[in-house]
Amino acid sequence: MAKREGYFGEFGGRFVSELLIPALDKLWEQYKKAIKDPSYKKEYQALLHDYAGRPTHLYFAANLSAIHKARIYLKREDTLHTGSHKINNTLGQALLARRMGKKRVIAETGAGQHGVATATAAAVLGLKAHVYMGEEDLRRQALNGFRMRLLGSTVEGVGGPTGTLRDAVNEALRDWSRTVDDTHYIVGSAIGPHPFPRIVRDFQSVIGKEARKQILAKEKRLPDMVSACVGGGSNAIGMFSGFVKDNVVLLGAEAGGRGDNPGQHSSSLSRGVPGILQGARTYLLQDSSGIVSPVHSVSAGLDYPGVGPEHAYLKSIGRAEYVSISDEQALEAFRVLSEVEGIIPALESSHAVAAAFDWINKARKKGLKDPLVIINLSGRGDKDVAEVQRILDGAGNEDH
Amino acid sequence: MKQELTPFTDYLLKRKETRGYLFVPYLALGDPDWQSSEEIVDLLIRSGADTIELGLPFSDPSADGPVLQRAFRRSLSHPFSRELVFQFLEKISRKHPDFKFSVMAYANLFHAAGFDEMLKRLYTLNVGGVIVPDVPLEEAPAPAPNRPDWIQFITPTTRPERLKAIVSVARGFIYLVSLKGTTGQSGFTLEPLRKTIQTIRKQTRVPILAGFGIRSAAHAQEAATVADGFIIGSRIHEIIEENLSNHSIMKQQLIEELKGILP
Ligand SMILES: Cc1ncc(COP(=O)(O)O)c(C=O)c1O
Repeated sequence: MAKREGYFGEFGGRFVSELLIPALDKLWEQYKKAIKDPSYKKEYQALLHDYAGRPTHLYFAANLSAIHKARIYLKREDTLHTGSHKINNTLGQALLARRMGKKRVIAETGAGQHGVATATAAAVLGLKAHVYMGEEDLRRQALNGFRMRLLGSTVEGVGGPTGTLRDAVNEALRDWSRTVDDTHYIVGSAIGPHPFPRIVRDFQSVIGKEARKQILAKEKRLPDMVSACVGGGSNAIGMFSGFVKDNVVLLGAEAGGRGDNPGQHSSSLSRGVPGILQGARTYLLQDSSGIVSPVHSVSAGLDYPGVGPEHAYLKSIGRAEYVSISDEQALEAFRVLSEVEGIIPALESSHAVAAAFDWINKARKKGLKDPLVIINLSGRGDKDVAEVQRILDGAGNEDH
Repeated sequence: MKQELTPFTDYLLKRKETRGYLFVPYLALGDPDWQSSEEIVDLLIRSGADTIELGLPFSDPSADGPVLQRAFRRSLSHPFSRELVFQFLEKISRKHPDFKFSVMAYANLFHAAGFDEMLKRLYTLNVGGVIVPDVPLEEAPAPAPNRPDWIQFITPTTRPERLKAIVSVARGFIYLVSLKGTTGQSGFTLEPLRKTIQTIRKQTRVPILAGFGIRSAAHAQEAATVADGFIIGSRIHEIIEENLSNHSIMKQQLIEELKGILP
């Protein structure tokens, strides 16, 4: 099949209103120009380095390694300014927005990390920001809602009491179709219509690039496996892109939630089928008529019924493996990493940690000695502490 | 200018001769229930609809404003499936054999059925045109015989090059999105689109229907004169929403509202 622009194999495309097509055309054109422009590159690099705190360390987790009889490294995206990998993308896109003469940016957010990272980038680059967040997520991540306001952004709860990330994306798309002349939509994951999955991947690819260099310097060899959590899939695709051409297992951890039934998880790749949502053809959780299913995850950032189209592609060609990690497994990994390494991870990242434990266990049983793995620690857990306390106190892990 | 017109375009052009414009109500199916939808379809046809845009409910209607989002939410609050849609269409197409319907659905409903399977089936059910708001020009399936016309959109952001490409493949009617935004938005006017309309007219006889934000007699009058007619949706579902507790008043109100709006 001929390679179509904007597609990863059969996945991707631009399934949005005709209204938005000119803006997507322009974005793609301007992006291609920008990344060849030394002044843009220089400004972006300087922000990543001096402001966001790159490169992040590749930390050898000696205690975890001893427990699991493996060599486990953590890619410390959690140490970045604002607390997650999301800043890699928002700085890149906010610079692009300014270059295109846009005065205002909008964003969707799940856990609030992308909202905070957008508000931050907007503050430092002198743009106005408005963030859409599901009402359920605003409850779970109340502090992040307040943080965005402190940073000078406006925040709007959407989707009613059960509103989550998908509602926020829908609302951001609606806003953008009204305001497209002066507004740029900073999509927060490797999702949405072309060129977003490509742009976001490129901005996040710094994770994989650094990690590859760092592991070669420390271990003189490539890892056996890299793992990352997959919500929309931006931190995962950023990590994977550094190793996709190597003989390295790419392991994506999706939210397995409370079980296999529809509405209880958000494992789009492991349990979904292809469909079209929010701009792209990709794997989706849906019923047989095409109605998109409700989803659940203990982590607001993974609570999404779709997934970035490049992951759908990597799955379809068998290049990456995707596993479903339950709320319980994620909470256990959250606890272990905190107690054993003194690092409180984001609940999202905890899924990647749990998936790595499982993988190491199986690999060792198959005879692989001292597996060498990198876990992408996409964010820190400060935002989750209150919600985890609530769950541990017995309030239960229910939707509201 | 020579252009092959599809049967659905022909049908619309003929209907336009009666009053000089086309009136296309939009109805989200199943709001508030299937029985009401059937009765409202009858009522809309009696009120002079030339085709009806039947909206299939979807969980994530990202091109719709609050009124039509709530309409879909009501539709999806009871069981919904593709089979139920087909059963419904069978019923109304048997009742109105000379009437051509249109179907609006988000892309995933077509994808789940298989685009061509869905189109084939709809064609057998008196559906003349399909309207898929999240499928732009490049993603549209190629035209084929015995399929409904794939309706194209022209919007205030459509630049001349693209407009030409869209109009050259337009069949059925052209959906002219009157403003930047979502359905149900206020501030309808076709003033800024007059030139666009002239440009389209030079290229095709396919009728131009204005949609998004039409809710008054003045709007309808403007669309009937500047374009070839109009699509009216949010206003209809506002009336449905305001009268959920009494369906006969709902229908009466719909009839009166349309009388007041139609030029
Ligand atoms: C820390 C962290 N990791 C991961 C994610 C999931 O996003 P993605 O899959 O795009 O990396 C989020 C989203 O909110 C997040 O906050």
